[in-house]
Amino acid sequence: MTIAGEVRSASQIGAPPEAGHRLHPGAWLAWLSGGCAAVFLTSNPLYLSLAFLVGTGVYLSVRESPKGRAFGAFVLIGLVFAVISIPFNVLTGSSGPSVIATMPELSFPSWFGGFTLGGDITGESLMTATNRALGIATLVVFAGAFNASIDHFRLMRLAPRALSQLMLTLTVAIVVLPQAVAHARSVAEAQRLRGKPARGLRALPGLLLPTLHGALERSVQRAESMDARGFGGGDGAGGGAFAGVVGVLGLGVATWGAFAHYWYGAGLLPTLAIAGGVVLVGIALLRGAGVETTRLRADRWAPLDAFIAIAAVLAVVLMLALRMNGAGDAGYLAYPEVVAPAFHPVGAIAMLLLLAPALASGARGTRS
Amino acid sequence: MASAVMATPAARPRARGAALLSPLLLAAVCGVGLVAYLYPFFLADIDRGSPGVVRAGEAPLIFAALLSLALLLFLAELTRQGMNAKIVALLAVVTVAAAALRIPTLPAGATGFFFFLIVAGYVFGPRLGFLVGSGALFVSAFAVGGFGPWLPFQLFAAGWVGMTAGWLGVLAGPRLRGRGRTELVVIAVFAGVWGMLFGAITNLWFWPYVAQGDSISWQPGMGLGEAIQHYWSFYILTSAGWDVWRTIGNVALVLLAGRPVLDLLTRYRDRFQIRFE
Repeated sequence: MTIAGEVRSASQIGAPPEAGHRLHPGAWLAWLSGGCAAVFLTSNPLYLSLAFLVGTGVYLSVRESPKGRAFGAFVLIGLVFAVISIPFNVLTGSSGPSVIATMPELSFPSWFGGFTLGGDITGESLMTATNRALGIATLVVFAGAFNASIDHFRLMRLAPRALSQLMLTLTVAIVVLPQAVAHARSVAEAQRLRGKPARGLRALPGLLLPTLHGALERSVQRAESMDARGFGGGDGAGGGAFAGVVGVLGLGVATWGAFAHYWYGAGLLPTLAIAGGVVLVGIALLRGAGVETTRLRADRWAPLDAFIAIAAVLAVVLMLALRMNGAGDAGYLAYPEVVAPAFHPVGAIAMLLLLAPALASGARGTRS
Repeated sequence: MASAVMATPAARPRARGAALLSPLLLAAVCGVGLVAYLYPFFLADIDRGSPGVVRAGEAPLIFAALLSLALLLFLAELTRQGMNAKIVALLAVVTVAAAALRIPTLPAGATGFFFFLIVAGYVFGPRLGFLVGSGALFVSAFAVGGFGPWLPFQLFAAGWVGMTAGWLGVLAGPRLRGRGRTELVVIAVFAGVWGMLFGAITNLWFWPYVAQGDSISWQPGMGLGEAIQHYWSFYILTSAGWDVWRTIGNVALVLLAGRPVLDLLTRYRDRFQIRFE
């Protein structure tokens, strides 16, 4: 076995407890984008409930990573926000014929928003508010799963060539962070030895300034050593202006397409404009100025990663098709009067496809 | 010698054209970014009966994608030139300092993030200001688990905070030099304004999706005036309370800790001899 082969297999065998880390960051990004898109494309509570369950399943499968444990609070806050949004939306004005209850009304002066709280509570507004809360909660668990499993260095490697200098900077920033924390600790230690407060708000100036000073001082040396190693060699290189023009043209075309989509309805032309604009921007970013780099141990797309990405794309395509056909109530509206939403298996399949990362971690988990 | 002389006339107009091109591209991309933020107001007038109304629900998705593209192009154009090792090293340290300050929160959600970002933008100029703002928010998103569809909007807004602070430094900085107290008050007012504005513009994206109540919701065809009125109600009910605290925190931090940080960053700017306009 070659050394590279050993490294690969070692990294795979060691993976199971944090299986999510081992998936390609591009697969995770495709999954998050696809998931969010699918959620925005439907307002049917049946599909949204399914999406929430799917997102929760994936989140639970990756939650046991160190990051997942650290970010649990974030997901919890998001879910609380989603739940609170229901009474919030219902109380800030309900309309529709199916009145469930009537609350006392409270009006505010117009400079303070001029809104009315309370009044009639209708089934229509309760249904709409619940759907939106489901959507928010689903976005939160999708984001939670992504955050718990993504590796930031590997994610930043996905950046197009035009952003290579910026990614270099951010990589340096992330590497510097532990040093800065260690330095802050030693500054605090020194302050304590001098008998000055090392904790609380009063200690902040005495802590912040020396830490910042030390970090900036070391960055002078870092710049010199980076210069010596040929990093950050973009000084005055210029070039790539043409790519910039192409990118801005593409962006303009896509913007026109996005608005034409609403002003004139979703015709062929707006769709083509959006797609063409995106392609132009992509060309600009991939072909723009930047440093040509080679990758040591480049991330490879395993079949599993490809499966996750394709499943995510397919989920969006299916949802879009369902919506355009008007089948299965994908764009369900509780108005003018609340009725039970229709259901189409394609919508369920679309959401279930987003379960792919959980299957991946399950498969890896049994191998250990 | 002769070749150098001959090369000059040809090279100069080209360089001048390139120098003009970059700000034009940046302004265009910035304009698209702004439009993507303000889409609820731009779409407020579409006809209720038009086929576009049915698709209003996916507007957050389309404009989040558009804004992401604009952000990538903007960052690419900003870092196309002049990113030498000095800039990279300095930017990394300033970025990580701003990102670290986002994590310990002061009472009621205020952080040192905006204070430091604004002072850094003021000292280092609009270009680095934008990079520090968006970069620091990106780095801290890793630390707090803040990735999600809302991130492009936060990144662009934080970038604008740094960029406008840079404009403030360019426009008002030379006039305020040597008048320490006035300078601090100007920066504090600026930080206070952004304390409210940041919440107002980042919530705008999600507003049509989140808000459903009749007096706070966005409806296609509602008209611009009503859209603004409803957004104001929504803002008062949701974000304003937090933003007031953030504003107070920003102003207090600038007044309390602004001077030493300003001096320290200015000293290193001069030492690095940063020219990155």
